[in-house]
Amino acid sequence: MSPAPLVMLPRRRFLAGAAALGGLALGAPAIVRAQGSRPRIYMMLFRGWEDACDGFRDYLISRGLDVEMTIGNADREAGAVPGLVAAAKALRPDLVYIWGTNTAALALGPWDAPDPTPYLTDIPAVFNIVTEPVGNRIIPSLEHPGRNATGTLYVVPIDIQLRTIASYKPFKRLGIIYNPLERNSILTVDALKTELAKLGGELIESPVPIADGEPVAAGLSELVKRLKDDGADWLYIPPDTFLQQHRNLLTNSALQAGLPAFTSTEPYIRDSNALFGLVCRYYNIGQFTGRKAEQILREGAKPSELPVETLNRFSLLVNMRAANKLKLYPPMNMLRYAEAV
Amino acid sequence: MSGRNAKPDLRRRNVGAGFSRSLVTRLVTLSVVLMIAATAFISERSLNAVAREVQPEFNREASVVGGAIAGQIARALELGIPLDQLVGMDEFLDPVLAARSSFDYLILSDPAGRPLYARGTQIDRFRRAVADRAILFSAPEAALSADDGERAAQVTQFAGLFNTAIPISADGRVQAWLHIGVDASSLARLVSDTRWDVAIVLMVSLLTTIELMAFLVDRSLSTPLRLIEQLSAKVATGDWAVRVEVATHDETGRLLRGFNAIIRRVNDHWDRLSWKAAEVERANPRAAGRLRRIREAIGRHATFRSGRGTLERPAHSAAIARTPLFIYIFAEQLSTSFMPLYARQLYKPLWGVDQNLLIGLPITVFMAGIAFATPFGASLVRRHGPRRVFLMGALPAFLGYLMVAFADSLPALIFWRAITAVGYSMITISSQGYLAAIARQQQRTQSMAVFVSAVMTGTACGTAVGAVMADRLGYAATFLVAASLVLIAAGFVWVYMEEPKGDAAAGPVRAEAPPRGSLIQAMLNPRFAALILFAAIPAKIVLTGFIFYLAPLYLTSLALPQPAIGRTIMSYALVMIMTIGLSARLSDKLGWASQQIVWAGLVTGLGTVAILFLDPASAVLVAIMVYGLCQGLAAAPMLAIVPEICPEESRRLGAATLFGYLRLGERIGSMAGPFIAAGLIATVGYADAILSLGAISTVPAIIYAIIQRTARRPVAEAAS
Repeated sequence: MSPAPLVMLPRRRFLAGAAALGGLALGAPAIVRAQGSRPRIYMMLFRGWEDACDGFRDYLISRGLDVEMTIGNADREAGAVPGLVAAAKALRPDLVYIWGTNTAALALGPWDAPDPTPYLTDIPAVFNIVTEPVGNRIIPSLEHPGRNATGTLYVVPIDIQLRTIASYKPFKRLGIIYNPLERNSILTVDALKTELAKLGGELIESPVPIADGEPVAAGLSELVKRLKDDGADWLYIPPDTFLQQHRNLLTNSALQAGLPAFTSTEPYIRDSNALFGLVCRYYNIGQFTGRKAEQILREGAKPSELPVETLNRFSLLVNMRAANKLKLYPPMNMLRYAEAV
Repeated sequence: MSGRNAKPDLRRRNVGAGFSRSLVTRLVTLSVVLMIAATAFISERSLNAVAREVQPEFNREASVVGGAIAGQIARALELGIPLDQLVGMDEFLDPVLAARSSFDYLILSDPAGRPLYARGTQIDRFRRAVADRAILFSAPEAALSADDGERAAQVTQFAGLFNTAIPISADGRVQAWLHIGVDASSLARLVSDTRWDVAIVLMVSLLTTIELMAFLVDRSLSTPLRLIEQLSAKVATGDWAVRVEVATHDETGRLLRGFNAIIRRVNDHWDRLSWKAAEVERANPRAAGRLRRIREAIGRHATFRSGRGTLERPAHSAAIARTPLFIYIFAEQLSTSFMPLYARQLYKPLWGVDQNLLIGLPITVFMAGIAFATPFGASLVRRHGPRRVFLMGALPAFLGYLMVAFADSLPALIFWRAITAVGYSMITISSQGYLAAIARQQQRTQSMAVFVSAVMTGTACGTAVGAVMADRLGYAATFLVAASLVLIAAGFVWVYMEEPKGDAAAGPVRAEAPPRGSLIQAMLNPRFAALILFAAIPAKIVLTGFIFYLAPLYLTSLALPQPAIGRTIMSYALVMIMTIGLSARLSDKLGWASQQIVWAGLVTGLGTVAILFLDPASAVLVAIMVYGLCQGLAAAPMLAIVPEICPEESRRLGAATLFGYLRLGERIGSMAGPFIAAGLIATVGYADAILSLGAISTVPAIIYAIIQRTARRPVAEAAS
C-alpha cells in the first residue's frame, strides 16, 4: 500500500474534449507523479471517458490502489482499435482496460484465432460493457476465460428482463429492431426467442435495412410504426452499437407510434425517450470491473482463471416524460424501487 | 377397597391430627385468599394500564404505516401520475392489509373523501360516515412536504372503527387522503387476550403455590406437630422410653430437639435416682424393702429407657410423592397444546401416508408406549422400590424432551416421544406405588385421589404455561424447559423421598399374572364388556382425538394465538379438578355410579353440538369444558362400579386384574383417537369431525345404558 497521494484524474468532460481533439492515444493525462512502483493501466476506450470508467477509477481509489492510467480512445471508429492495440503493446502496461463489445472483439480477437499476432495476448486485460463475450468468441466460457483476459457482463439476464416488462404491462408480442450486421444483436434475438418460447410470447423481428453493406437509419420510424401495426405490445431495444447512435430517433419514433420501449442499456432511458429499462449501472459495472483489476494487480490472480460475471443488483429506470406521453404509468409496487428520470 | 370401609378409620385418625389439620387449613386458606386478592388487584390495575397504553399505540401504528404509504403515493403524484390513473393499487395495498390484522381497510380518497381506491371490508361504513360527516379530515394550514403525512394524521372514532386520515400532498397542496381503518374490536381482543393471559398466570401460580406450600407445610409443620402429639401421648401414659427423629433445622425442629432433651433429662434423673437408691439400699438394708416398693409403684405408671429408647419417626408423607409428580406432569403437559402443530412443522411427505395421520402419530405412539411400558414399570417398582424407579424413569424422560427439542424430522420426534413414554410410565407408576405403599390398605382410594389431583393440577398448569412459552420462546425452548423440570423433579425425589420400608414396600397392588383366558372370561360378562367398549374407550377417543389432536389443529386454522389454544385445551383439566372430588362423593353417597357413566357419555357428545350454534373457537371451548365436567364425574364410578357389575369375576380374577383391563381399554382408545380424528378431518372437515367425535361418545353411551339394563337381571339371579 503506497502512501502516495491518490491519482487525481480530470473529470469526464475535459477528457471527452481532449479525446475529440487529440484522437488517438492521449498521453497519460492522469499521471500526477511518476513513480516506478505504481501499476500502469492502459484505458482502451471507444466513446471516450464515461460512467463505467468513473466507476472503475473510483473503485481503485477507494481500495487505496494507486495506479497510473494512460488513455487511448477510438472515438467511435472501429478502424482505430488496431492502432490502440499497437500503442498498448508499445507501452507495456500492467493491465489493459477495454470498453465495449466491438473494442474487445477487435483488440482481443477470437480466443481460438489461428494467428494471434494482431491482438493483445501477453498483457492482462479486463473488459466491460461487453455483450455475449462467449457468443462473440472473445472467451470460450464465462467460468473459465482461459486466456489472458477477463471482465464483467452488463446486460441483465433475458428472463429477468422479460418478467420485468410483464410486470409493468403484460404482453403477448414483443417487437425488436436490430442491426443484422452486429453479431451481439443476432445473439440477443436468439436468446429472446428461446426465453419467449418458454413464456408463451411471440417475437416480431424487424432488422434494419442494409444498403451498400451499411445499415440505414432513415427508415427507423417506419420500422417502429410497422411493429405497432403488427400488434407489438412493446419495443425491445437490444444493446446494439448502430441503434445506440440513433437512439433519439428510435425512441422518439416509438413515442409517436405509442409503442412503449424497453431496454437494458442506460442511455436510452436517461438521455433519450425509452419508457423504462432494467439496467446495470455503467458506474456499478465499472466498479465491479475495478474489483477484477484489483484481483489481478494486487492479489496476483490470473485473468484466465477469473470468471466473467454479472452484478446481481440491477436498477429499474423509468422515463416519466415517456410515461406521461404514453399515459402508461408504472405500477405502484414497481415505483417503490424504480428510479424516475 | 371401597370408600365406605375407610371412613371410620379415617375419622379416628382425624381426631388425632385435628389440631395440625385445622391449623394448616386455616393457614393455607388465609395465604391463598391474600394472594388472590393481591394478585387480582395488581392484575386489574396493570390491565387497565394496558388498555390505556395500547389504544394510542394502535393508532400510532396506523399513522406510521400509513405515512409510508402516503409518501409513496405522494411521490407518484409528484412524478406526474394523475391521481385517478395510479396503476396496481390493489397489489400495492393488499400486502399491507394482510400483514396487519388490526387494519380493517385502506382507502385512498380525493380531497372530498370520495374513495378512489379501497381495499378492506368496512368500506361502505366509511362511505356512510363520510356522507354523515362523521369522519373529520381537514387540510392542514401549513403546506406539507410529501413525507409529512404521518405528522398530520387525524384520528376519528366512528361505529366501532378508528379512522386515521393522512393527507397526501404533492406540488404544495393536499391532493388526496389515505384513510386507515383500525377495528376497535381488535383492540378489545388484545386486551381480553391479555386479561386471559394474566388470569392463567394467576391460576397457575396459585395452584403451584398450593402444591409447594402443601409440601412445605407438611414437612415443617404438620409432621413435627404430629410427632410432638405422638410423643406427648406416649409420655402422658408414662412411657419415657421414646425419642423423636429430627429432620429439619427450623423452629419446629428445635422444638422437637427440646422435647428430646426434656425426655433425656427425665431419664437421666431417673437413672441418678435409681443409682442413689441402690447406694442407700447397700448402706441401709432396712430401707431396702421400702425403696423397692416405691420403685415398683413408680414403674407401674411409667417406663424409662434402658438404652437410647425407641425412635418415633414421621410416617411417610404423601406430599413427598405428590410434589415431584406434579412437577413432572407439569413438564409433560407443556407440549399438549401444540404437539400436532410441532409434528406438522417437522412433517415431510413420507411413504405416501396422509399428512393428517402422520402428525397424529406422536400422540398415538406416546400412548402406546405408556400402554407397553406400564406393566414393566409396575414390576420394576415391586423389585426396586418406587424411589429408584422414579429416578430411573427420569433418565428416558429427560432424554426424550431434550431430543424432541432438537428433532429435525417427524420420525425422530415419534421415536423420542416413545422414549419419553417409557419415562412417563415409570414415573407415574412409581408415584402411584409410593402413595399406595404409604397408605394403609383402606386408604388406597384416598391415595389414588392424591395421585389424580396432582396429575390434573399439573395438566392444567402445564398445558396453559406451555402454550404461553411456545408462543414466546418457541417449541424447542419449551421442550428444554420440560427437560430441566424433569431434573428438578428427580432432584426432589433424590433428596426427600425414602423407599417405603417393611410391609409398605409391597408396592402397588400386587398383580399376579392372571390365568390364561381371563381377559376373555371378563369380556364374556356383557356388562363389563360394555363398560370397556362403550364407556372407557369412547371417553379416551374423544380425549386424544378431539382435545389433544383436533383442537390444536383446528384452533390454529382459526388463527387463534397459541396461548388461547393452550387455555382452551387446559380447561378440561381445570374442570376435572373440581368435578373429580364431587364424582366420588356422588357415587358413594347416592349410589349414582351407573347413571353417572351413562350421562357423562351422553352429555360429552351433546357438548360438541355447540359447534352448530356458537362461533367455532367458543364452541371448541364449550365442548372441551363439557368433556371435563362429564368425564370428571365419570372417573370414580368407572372404578367403583367394577366389583358391582362383575362380582363373580372380581372374586375369581381379583378386582386389580379387572382394573388392569379397564386401563388397557382406555389406552386402546387413547391410541385410536388421533387416527379416527385424522380420518374424519380428511373426509368431512373439522366441524363435522367434531360432531362425529361427539357421536362416538353419545351413541355408545346409549348402547351402554341398554346393556346395563338388560343384562342386570340374569346377573342378579346368579348372585342370589
